[in-house]
This record gives sequence, structure tokens and C-alpha cells, in this order.
Amino acid sequence: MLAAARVVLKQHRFEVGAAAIAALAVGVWALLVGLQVRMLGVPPGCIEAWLASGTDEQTECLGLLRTWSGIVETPVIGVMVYIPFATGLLGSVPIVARELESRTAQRAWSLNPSRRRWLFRQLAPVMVILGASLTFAALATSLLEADRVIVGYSPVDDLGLYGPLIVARAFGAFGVGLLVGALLGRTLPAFVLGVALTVALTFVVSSVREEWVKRLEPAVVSEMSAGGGTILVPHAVITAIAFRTPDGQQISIEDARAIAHTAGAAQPAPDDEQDLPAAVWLERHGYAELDLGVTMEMALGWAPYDALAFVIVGVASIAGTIPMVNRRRPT
Amino acid sequence: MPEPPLRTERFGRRYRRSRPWAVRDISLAFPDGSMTALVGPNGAGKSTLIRACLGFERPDEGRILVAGIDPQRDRPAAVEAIGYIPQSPSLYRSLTIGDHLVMALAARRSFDRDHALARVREAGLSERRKIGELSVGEQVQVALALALGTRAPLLLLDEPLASLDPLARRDFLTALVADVRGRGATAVLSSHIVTDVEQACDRLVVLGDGRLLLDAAIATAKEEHRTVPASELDGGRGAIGTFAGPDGQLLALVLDGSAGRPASLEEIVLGHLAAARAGRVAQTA
Repeated sequence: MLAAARVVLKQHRFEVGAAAIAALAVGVWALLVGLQVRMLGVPPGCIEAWLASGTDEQTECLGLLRTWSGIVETPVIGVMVYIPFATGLLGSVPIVARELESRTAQRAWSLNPSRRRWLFRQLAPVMVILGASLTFAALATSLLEADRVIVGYSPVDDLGLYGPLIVARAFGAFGVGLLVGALLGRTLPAFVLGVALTVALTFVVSSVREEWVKRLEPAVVSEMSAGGGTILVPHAVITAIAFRTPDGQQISIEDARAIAHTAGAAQPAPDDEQDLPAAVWLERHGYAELDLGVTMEMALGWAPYDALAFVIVGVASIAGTIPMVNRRRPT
Repeated sequence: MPEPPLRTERFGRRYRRSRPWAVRDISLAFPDGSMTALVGPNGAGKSTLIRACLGFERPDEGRILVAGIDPQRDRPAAVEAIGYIPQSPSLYRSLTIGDHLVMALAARRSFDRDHALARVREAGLSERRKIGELSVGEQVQVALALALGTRAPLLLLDEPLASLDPLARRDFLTALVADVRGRGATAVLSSHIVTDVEQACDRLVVLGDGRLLLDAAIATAKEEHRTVPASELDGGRGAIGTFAGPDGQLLALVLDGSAGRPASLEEIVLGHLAAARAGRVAQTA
């Protein structure tokens, strides 16, 4: 059994090797960044005080904070947006596609009485290697995430992209790659289609996630007025912007801008999405800008759904590949 | 009556509805322990027939039974009963011969690795050699070793001789005949090269234009057919088909009769193919 697995891995050594190395490299990178952060030894009180003040006035540990900030902002978590998809597709697309493309399917399917068993024998070693590499990357990024303090916002794109979600996303992409490989029977076109489908899937999942987060009960997470900024809820995900009037009422950004323009603020230039004239008017007249949002814990409530969506896609795609392989005419 | 290892019942396959049938109305029974030469020109339907036995082609008409099993209903059981050499050796270029033996053993528990390895060594090859480094002829020898290693009761060999030089052809056929005869297996060998298969096979099936032209024991076919110069026949009457001999003389293939001389296997095939081309079908039992 091990000998057969070795032969399968030898067949796909370039793709599986590249995917595993990429996942391991990101994992090692995350570990190194985490190690740097820990070696820096920023006192927790320093970060908490900085978050509470919302300014850089903590002169005592400003230097340390700046170094810390520089380290934790490395794009290692951002890279994790792509790693699961690249790994999943690289590992799965050639499994059936190359057999059909290089005309070895008739050899494989005439030696193997059951094509389904053949497929699982091909999948198992590849999934074990990629699964292990991705689990390492997932654990390493989880450790880093624990050190990464997001100040007042979190880019929605990398929300929760650490831990099990990475493995789930890779599994989804793996299934999609396997299916399109079996469907098209050619490696490169299948890889291109696989990328397009996983991008589309991610877009759909992200759109649903944004809507889901917006439906959570928002709270004022930070306030910015002429006097300075105050972070009320650290580690929050911003979902909307609002304003507080001088008499304490909370109004939407659209209403605030309308008030400013009615009162004489100039109309913004066509390319001025920030509506600077209104923003200046509102600041001068004592309006405070509010960031509305939810806590990171609340927002991360989405992660299980995200993972579930990709796991369902992965399972459905692999299940869909079985009848396709069974029906294919090897040439 | 026991079920033969391979039987076709009015088998027909058409790749597209707008196109003519690739093969049609093929009813054959391959007796247990027989070695059948499946002969015909390109496009006659030989590969289609062989591939349908493995479930690679779906019949549009009729059916195929491998040891009584319809590959369309129970493909795993049908494939299990077959050792196959595809038209192109279809081996993995980046793997060694040894890797292929490992792969075959994982695919079939009944695979006889030692037997296959012995065949590889008899062919002068080492299991450590990569397929990408082998000539096409050597790859065919590896494909034969894999097919023989399955110890399957039915061997289907799709034009394996085409890429072999005469010496390699002889080695190939010697090994094949020894294995098939030694364990009482049944083999179907499709080929263009009639003279070679004559030594190895005991039955002849000729396909042409997607139809069955002849299905007979080679000895019977040779007894029944005679070749006469076409000029000796009254306007070609009684001839199955006419074809040009090696010296350019027009020859006619006839059944029975005492005229002319006994037909060679090649002449029998040529005569029936000529008949098919002329729109006539003559079949003998």
C-alpha cells in the first residue's frame, strides 16, 4: 500500500511538491513572524493602553509599539487568501486530467477493475501530504493570529484566515480542481477553469459573509472628533460609518452629508468619494464620526459557515467526479 | 453449454448519429482456449470491439459478454477477467518498469508480479529502467509483461505487433503463445500483419467497413478457400473477391472447388476485404 502511494506521489511529484512547499513555507514564515513578536516582548499593558487612548501618546513604549506594528503587519496572513486555493488546485487538477491527456487512462482503467477505487487510491496519498502541509500552515498562522492585535478594523478579506478554515478552503478547491480536471481532461485548461471557479466561489462566500456581518447588532466601536479619537471596542470589525450630532443624536453618514450641504458646504468633486467639503463642515460644527461594527469574536462566528461552505463544495465535487470518471471514455 | 470467455451479440457502435456505424451487427463467440487473430484495415472496428469489452465503448446496438458478464452492467467484474494491451503502450513515462509492477499489484491482488518481472527480464529489460528511456518496442514488451502478469483468463491485444521489428515480433508471439497455451487462456490479437498471426493463432476474424466478413478456424478457412487466376473464371463468377497478386496478376478467391491452389491466409483476408469493398459479404462458418 505504501509502495503504491509512493508511485502515485512520484507521478504527481512536481504539483504536489510545489503545493506542499508553498504551504510549509507560509507556515514557517508565520512561525518566524510570531517568534519575532514574542521576542520583542511588548508588555500587554502597553498595547492595551495604546488601544484605549487611540493615539500614539504612550511615549514610554512608542518605539516598541512601532517595531511590533511593523512585524505584525507582514502580509503572511494576507498570503493565506491564496495558499489554500493554489495548494488545492495544484494537487488535484492533474489527478484525472493528466491520465486522460497523456492517454494513460486506458492503462490505469484496464488494470483497475473499479475506477472508483482507482480514484481513491490516487487521492489518498496526495490528500495526506497536502493535508499535513496545510495543517502545519494553519497551526502556525493560528499562533500568529493570537499575537496580531487588530486595531479598530480588520480587512474582511482575511477575516478568520487561519486555523481550520485554511484546510477547509483548500479541500473545497481540491474538489473543484479534481472535478474540472475530470470534466475537461486537460491539465492547463482545467487549472485555469479551476482558478476561475474558486475565485467565483470565494466572491460569493465573501459577499454572503459581508451581508451576514452587517446583520449583526452593531455597536459604536470608535469615535473620531476634533478633539481626537477614542477606540471603544478594540479588535472590532467595522460594518458602517455614522455621525453623532452636537446634541448627541446618532445619524447615518448620508443624513450627515445632507445636513452639511444644506447648511452651505460645497458640493464634492465628481471623484471625491469621501465628500471632503461635507467632512470638513461636519468636523468644524462639532459632529463626531463614529465607526459602527461588531466585535471580532462576533464576526468570526462566520468562520464555521465559511468552512462548511467549502467542505460541502469539496465533498460534492469529489462525489461528482466519481460518476464522471466512471463514464469517461479513455482515448 | 458453457459460456465462452468472450461473446458478442449483434454488437454495433456509432460515434455520432450523423456518422456511419464504426461497427455493426457483429456476432461472435470466442471459444475457450482459442487464440483469435482479429484482422482488418484501419477503421474496420477492431479497436472499437476490443475497447467495448473493457467498457471503454458503450454499444449502441447489441451487447458484449465477457465470461457471461456484460461490461456495461458490471464493468469491474468484466475488467477483472481481462488482460489488455492498448494500441499505444500507454505507460507512464516518468515511472520505472518496477513502478508499473507496483501499480499493477495495487490494482489487482491477483497480479503475479514475479511472472511479470520474469517476462520483463526475458525481454532483456531491467525493472529500474524508466519508461521514457525505452523504445516503443521495449514499451510493448513491458505492456505484454503487465498483461500476462494479470493472469487473466482473457487477453485482448490491440495491434501490439505494429511497432515491433521482426525479431521482437517473434519473441513477443512466442511468449504470448507459451503463456496462453500453458494456462489455457483465451486471446484475441488484432493485427495488420497476417503472416505473423498465422503462426500464433488458431482462429481468424476479419472485419471490414465495420462489418464481420469472416469468422472461422484458420485450418478450416485454409481448407475451404482456393485462389485462382481471375482470368480462369467466367467473368469472375463464383469469386468471393478479386485482388492483385505479388506479380500483379489478378487473382480470385473462391470457396471449395478443385481449381487453382489452396489460398494463403493473407489471400483469404485480401479476398474478403476486396469483396467488402465491392459491396459483397461472403461468410463461411
